[in-house]
Amino acid sequence: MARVAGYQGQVNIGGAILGTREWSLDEVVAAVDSSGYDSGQPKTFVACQTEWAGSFSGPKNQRPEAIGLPVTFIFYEIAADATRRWEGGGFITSCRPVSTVDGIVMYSYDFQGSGAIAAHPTA
Amino acid sequence: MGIETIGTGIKTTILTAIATGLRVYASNEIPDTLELPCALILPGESEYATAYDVSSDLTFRIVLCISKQDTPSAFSKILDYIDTTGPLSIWIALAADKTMNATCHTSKLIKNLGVGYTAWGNIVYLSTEFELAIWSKP
Repeated sequence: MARVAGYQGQVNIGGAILGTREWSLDEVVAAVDSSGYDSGQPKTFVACQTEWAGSFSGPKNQRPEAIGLPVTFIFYEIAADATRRWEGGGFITSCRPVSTVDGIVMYSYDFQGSGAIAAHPTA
Repeated sequence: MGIETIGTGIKTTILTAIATGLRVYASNEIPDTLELPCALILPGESEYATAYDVSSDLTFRIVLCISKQDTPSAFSKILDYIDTTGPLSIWIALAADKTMNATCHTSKLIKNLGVGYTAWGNIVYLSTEFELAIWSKP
């Protein structure tokens, strides 16, 4: 498997969020302890509900994204390659603008996925 | 935008505010001999792929040459350009249009490096240098 250069990425919410520098996504499954007296000393676990959430950030380039509204997220590892994307519905949970005197205005967002991830990278 | 376009935008921005007495050389107009006083717009340190969409963070050096080194009294003429007020202020000129004539997203005059000397074509000039940060757009 070839490595993928990060600068080719994109965050898309009905259109590319220009200026974005990074995104991260956590897809997790709850590991619930199912140990009983019959399990003996080693704990046992059952995979239960899944969820996904993450964040993205970069310089301000356009009107800020709204929080709380249902949207479709597409997180591209390579913007021009649909086989290298994460896609699913959810909403932005927080928006943090930061302005510093010696830099440019930056925005960072946290999001929560709702339901399943519709598309995982296939390459 | 390319370095050449932004350099020309910086020149336009300076000349819009400082209309008389200063010759400004854009990055693609650098001469072998200088007409004084003058500002040389030179490319500085660059950082590429700073966002997913095509953009880069650039630095331009604006070298201001006032006179040849054999007239050190001319150092006093540099003060008006370094100052943050007055008709010759580089700070005011560049703050008037942070997009450098619509060639970049935004910019910031970071610092002045103080007075000193610049060797150009085997001639040494009294000079000062400004550092201008440019956040570019495609």
